[in-house]
Amino acid sequence: MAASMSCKNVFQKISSASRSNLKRSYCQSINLTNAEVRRKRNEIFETEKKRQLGLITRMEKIQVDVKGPPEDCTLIMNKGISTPFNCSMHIQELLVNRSALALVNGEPWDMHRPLKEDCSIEFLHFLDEDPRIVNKAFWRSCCLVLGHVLETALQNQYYVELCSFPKPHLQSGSFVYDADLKLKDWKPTTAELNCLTRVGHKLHHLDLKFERLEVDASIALDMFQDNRFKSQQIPFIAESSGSKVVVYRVGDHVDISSGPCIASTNQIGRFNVTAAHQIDTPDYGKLYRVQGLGLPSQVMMHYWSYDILRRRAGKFNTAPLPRLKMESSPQTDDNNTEIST
Amino acid sequence: MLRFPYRARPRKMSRQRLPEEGIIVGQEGRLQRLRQLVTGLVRYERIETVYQHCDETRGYAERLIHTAIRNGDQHQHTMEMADYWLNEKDLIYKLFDVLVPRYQNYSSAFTNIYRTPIVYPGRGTEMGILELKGNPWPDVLPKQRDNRYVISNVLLQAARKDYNTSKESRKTKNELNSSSENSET
Amino acid sequence: MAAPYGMTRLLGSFRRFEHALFQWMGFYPPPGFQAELVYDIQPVENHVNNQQSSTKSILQDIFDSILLAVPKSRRTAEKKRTRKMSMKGHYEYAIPKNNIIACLECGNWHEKETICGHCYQTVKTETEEMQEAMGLDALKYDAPRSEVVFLYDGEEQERPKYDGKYIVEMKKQRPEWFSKNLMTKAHNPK
Repeated sequence: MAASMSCKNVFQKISSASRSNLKRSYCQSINLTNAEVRRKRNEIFETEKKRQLGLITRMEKIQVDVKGPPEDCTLIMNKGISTPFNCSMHIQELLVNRSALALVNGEPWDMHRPLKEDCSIEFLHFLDEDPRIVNKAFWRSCCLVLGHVLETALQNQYYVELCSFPKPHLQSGSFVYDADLKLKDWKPTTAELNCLTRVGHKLHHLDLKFERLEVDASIALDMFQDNRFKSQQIPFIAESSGSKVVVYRVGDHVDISSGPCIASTNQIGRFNVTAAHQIDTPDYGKLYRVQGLGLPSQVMMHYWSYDILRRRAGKFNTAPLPRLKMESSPQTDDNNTEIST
Repeated sequence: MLRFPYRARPRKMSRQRLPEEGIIVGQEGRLQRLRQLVTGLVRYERIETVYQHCDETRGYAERLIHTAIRNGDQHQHTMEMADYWLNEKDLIYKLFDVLVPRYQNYSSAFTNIYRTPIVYPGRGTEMGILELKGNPWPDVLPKQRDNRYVISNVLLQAARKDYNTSKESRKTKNELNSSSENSET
Repeated sequence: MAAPYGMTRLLGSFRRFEHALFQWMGFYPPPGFQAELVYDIQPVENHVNNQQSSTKSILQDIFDSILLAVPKSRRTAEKKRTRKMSMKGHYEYAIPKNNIIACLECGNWHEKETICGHCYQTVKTETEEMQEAMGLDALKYDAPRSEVVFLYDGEEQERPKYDGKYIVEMKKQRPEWFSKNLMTKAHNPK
């Protein structure tokens, strides 16, 4: 009872956001709420996605060779529309449920990203012999989910601006999102962390796909104009990858990320928000480093061992602070190819 | 030292159908069946039968080999045991010449047991595989996987490392403290 | 006292045999001596014409010494229901199995506690081929008195390594999944 009471102080009810608070917000500079911004971003994403689909005027076929333990087969799929997920649907339900990533011609590829040409596919899951790429994708996806949680969980008067998250580094013990929560000297209690955890955990049951979209830098700026950090970062990102920015949508939360993400939130089995530490960055000012821990649903762990990990994830994560400069930019493209033990 | 926890209570296994003798009821039937299985195990080094029977022969097979290792082939009781349990007498040579040297320095059990899938449709009998370790046939299990890159192991390994380094640093800190106390006094 | 059900037919058939025997012998025993069965199939009545009065029979001694198994107490409704509705033979095929997993090697399904049947089938066919190469004599009738070693195509140079062992030559390539290290300990990750 006491836990729920303290939750109400800072966080809204898990059910829904109320737009009526719009006029009564006490934010310094902006009259916006996260719900409004989210809705707007979603609309832009949707229109851009439809536009890109509309560019495909005729149905061309591509040959896809599937290699893998269940069976090897050849499929004829639609160019620019069919995804590895669709390929797995043709083969076995086992692949549909457990595949987190696909290796398309050796390159890590999202499950819901359309295929462009004749290729060979391998499906990856969390219990492979060498699941390092999938682990990184998982960590990255959990960061996105954490961003979703931060934008959704707080009450409307706190307009949360997400900054960025560092490269996935599993050995640190936690995934991280740096954000401006507009809270003064907040030291989260266990109950508050539990509330945030539950917000994130709900997504597992909603089974939301991680949809990938490559957008032009201008559209990305349009999407993230209300976020002062991201609007600064987008030009840098676009510079390195030829005026294209990769954007992911989970449910109705849109965010920038470079590397591949897992197929759906259904594959995130355990999710915990473990800590929030205050950090002082030279480029962005005072931010909160929110840390979390998660495990895929395919991987089982006893609650006792998980608890040890959770306590470790509460310690301050020493990943590099968010910088605007290129060398330590978190959006570089070598997330996928780097293999660290 | 017998490295296998053999069952204290025997399984009933009554009413066994044996190829030559026919149906034998009761404890006698059980023993004949077990003899047959132990003989088969020593001969073929891998047998597939009812899982419960595999489990039952395991104790006897292990005990037989253990006795042979301990006492050698000049020991009268051991020879009597071998003669009883191995229906085919060329296997007595195999026991002392092949199995005893093989298992001389083993610090684990000499047999492995696995469950095989139940065949459907059928009676639903649970079948198993009993094998002697170190047999020349290919392994029953495909191959042992290296799980160290699975995410749970990665996280736990990192946590373990963290704990050990902190323990060492605490240890050295304590040592320093205690040495400083000693120097003070 | 009414006889137990199983005994009724036996006693009945014995009585008929007794009667036939006396008929064949040509004389019936004197009225004082009656081949009477204590556990009679009919209730005992004191009729004048009833030859079979309640005197002891030869068989009574025999049957007296056998203690027949009989339920001591009534089986309760709970016990009766438990036995009737038990899992085995009644429920187990109605409940879905949650313990079916896919083999990580081949993708086929099997129960969690068992080995993969598909993977084991390959092992089994290979084992049968090896046993065939070994020969019926060595396999079934005269077991070799040293360790058996199988050498595949292209492994001739390892023959001196197995000096003193019973070597069987396999006329085929070694399968990829069959490791060469046959006589080493179990896999040690370190």
